[in-house]
Amino acid sequence: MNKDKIVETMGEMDPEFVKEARPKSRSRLALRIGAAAAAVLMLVGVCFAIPKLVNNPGMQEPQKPSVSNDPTMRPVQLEEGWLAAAPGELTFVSYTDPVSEAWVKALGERKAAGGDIAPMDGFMRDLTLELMKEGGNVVWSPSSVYLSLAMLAESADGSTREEILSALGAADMASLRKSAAAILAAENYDDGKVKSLFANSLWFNKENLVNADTVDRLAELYRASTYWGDPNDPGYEEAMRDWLKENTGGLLDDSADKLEMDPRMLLEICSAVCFKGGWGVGFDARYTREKAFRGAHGDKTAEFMYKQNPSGKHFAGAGFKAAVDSIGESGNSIIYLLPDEGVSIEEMLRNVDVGGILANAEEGGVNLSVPKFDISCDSDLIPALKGIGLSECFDDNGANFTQLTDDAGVYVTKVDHSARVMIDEEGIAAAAFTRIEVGYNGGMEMTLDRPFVFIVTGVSGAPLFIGVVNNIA
Amino acid sequence: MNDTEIIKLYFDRDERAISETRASFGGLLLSVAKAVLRDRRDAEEAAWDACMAAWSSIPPNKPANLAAYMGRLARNAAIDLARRNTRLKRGSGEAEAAIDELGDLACKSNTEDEAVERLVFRRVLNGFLSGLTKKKRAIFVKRYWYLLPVKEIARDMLMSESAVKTQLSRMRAELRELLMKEDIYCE
Repeated sequence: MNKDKIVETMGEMDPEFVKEARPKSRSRLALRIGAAAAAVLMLVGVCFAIPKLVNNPGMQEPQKPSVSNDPTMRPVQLEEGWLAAAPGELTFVSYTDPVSEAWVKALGERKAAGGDIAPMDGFMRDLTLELMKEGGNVVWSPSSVYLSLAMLAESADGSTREEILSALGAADMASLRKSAAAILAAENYDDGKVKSLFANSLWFNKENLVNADTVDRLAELYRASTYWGDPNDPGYEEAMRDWLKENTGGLLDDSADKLEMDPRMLLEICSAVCFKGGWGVGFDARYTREKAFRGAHGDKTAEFMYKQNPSGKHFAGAGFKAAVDSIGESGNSIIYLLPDEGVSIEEMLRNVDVGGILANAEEGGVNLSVPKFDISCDSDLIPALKGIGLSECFDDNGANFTQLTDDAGVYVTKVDHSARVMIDEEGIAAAAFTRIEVGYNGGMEMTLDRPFVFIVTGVSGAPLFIGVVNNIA
Repeated sequence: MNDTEIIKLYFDRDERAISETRASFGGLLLSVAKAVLRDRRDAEEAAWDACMAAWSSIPPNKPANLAAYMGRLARNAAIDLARRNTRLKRGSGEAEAAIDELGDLACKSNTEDEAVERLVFRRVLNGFLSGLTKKKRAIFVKRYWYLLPVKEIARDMLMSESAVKTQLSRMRAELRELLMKEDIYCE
């Protein structure tokens, strides 16, 4: 059969195969690129070179084309438009005094978009209890980890997915997506009083096949920006770290600098949150006093701030007291929980229901004496996640990530979480990021960074050379 | 108008068959032809040629799936037009590169009966495709049915161009191996 006949007979492929491989519509992509690029600029503030094919009058010139000259480091949706990211633009209404109708309307819409937090409540409590087993301070962002694991669940299938759903307290993917969408819709804003910005991103290894439908879904549902590059390229790794730094407002630069990309990675799922806000009723610095904090490992002097907040709320639970203090003007709050004397933190947490406290806290004001703090944690979440029932996703032979790839031996290799929360008289600043690395198994790890022996063998196995390397010249 | 009604127009030799075909499948014909020709005017010409080919071939043919049938005619018309325009010979197009790659599958046949040859080839081809993963199949079909550039496939499939080329090369080799197992083909 000659080439011409083969070309013609190729036209007789099964119509179903032809249909499933239909090329993506160019015009649809172009529209999505514009929206994606605008959203990325708006939400994240990360700026890259804008390709000529994007012709969106609403877009601005890049402020910092830090990675624009390296093709391995560009966000693909901006470079060529093959993947969409955040659909539509995020617009924020600034707080004014007196408040504008637009601000009230935007706040109402965000509150209406909020979902049922009960499933997250259990997840927060269970994982906190696991993290406490390591001792010391614990700080983490349940919302960030929740979103990251939700994206992981999108990539997984079968019992691997079921385990993640169960850990997150979600009945099925539909309810998980609903909860994730609620977080992103309700908690993503900057009104000048409170900044609460979530950003998600996916970092792919350009050498691997992945399911484009899943990537599209992650981009659409989780507003995930997508990047594509070579994990062996230090610039690509650096770009991921820069993304995390940008999206955590500079609060976690040192933590981000510790992250590395494994050359065998298939995907890095990143989720970041940056939160800053002033107190609804501020602390008066004139009342700040040094006092002893009776810590778990002994007393330590701390700067205690004091305020009388007539609009603060309080709640008495089983074995604890709670004070609810407002942040900004939009309904954000910080809940301080103090166990009764003799009651452990673990015991108290088992009885805490955040939704119940917020709903049932009583008016009447609170007088707060709170130490200034700046606490941060860099955590490997894998042991804690195993503690709440995740196991299959960490199994290098048993994990099922077929929603992402048909390749075997793909599993979760790392789950890193860093968080920092600091408060002072003015307000609160907090940030967190989660990085889940999905990679390939195989091969023993060996780093020859101490004395070793090598032997060069011939085709017959004869030792041609042997060396003992005690020192590197 | 549904497919059966359109096909009836062809059988009745009613010229409205052409306009109804264009109304139902115009977008499909254009997109298929444009993937090959990369030029809208040429694609429109190929789409028209495809309608003419339908007029000439129905009857005797009575396609069970009119969309698939028209898509195939549009593809063939686009390839013919590209050849008429001598674009392929000038080495200007990615379609030419895709077609050249199919030269890897060329083989001698022990039969004079072209229909039998095509039948066997089609059976082996579709069997091979059904055994591939969805993604690999999509790569193959995009390249050899739609004749898309490797760059475009890489973009659609989230892969590097070199990875797409490697996959295509492996799949061609596998398909050739399957063809060689058939009695009617030999090296």
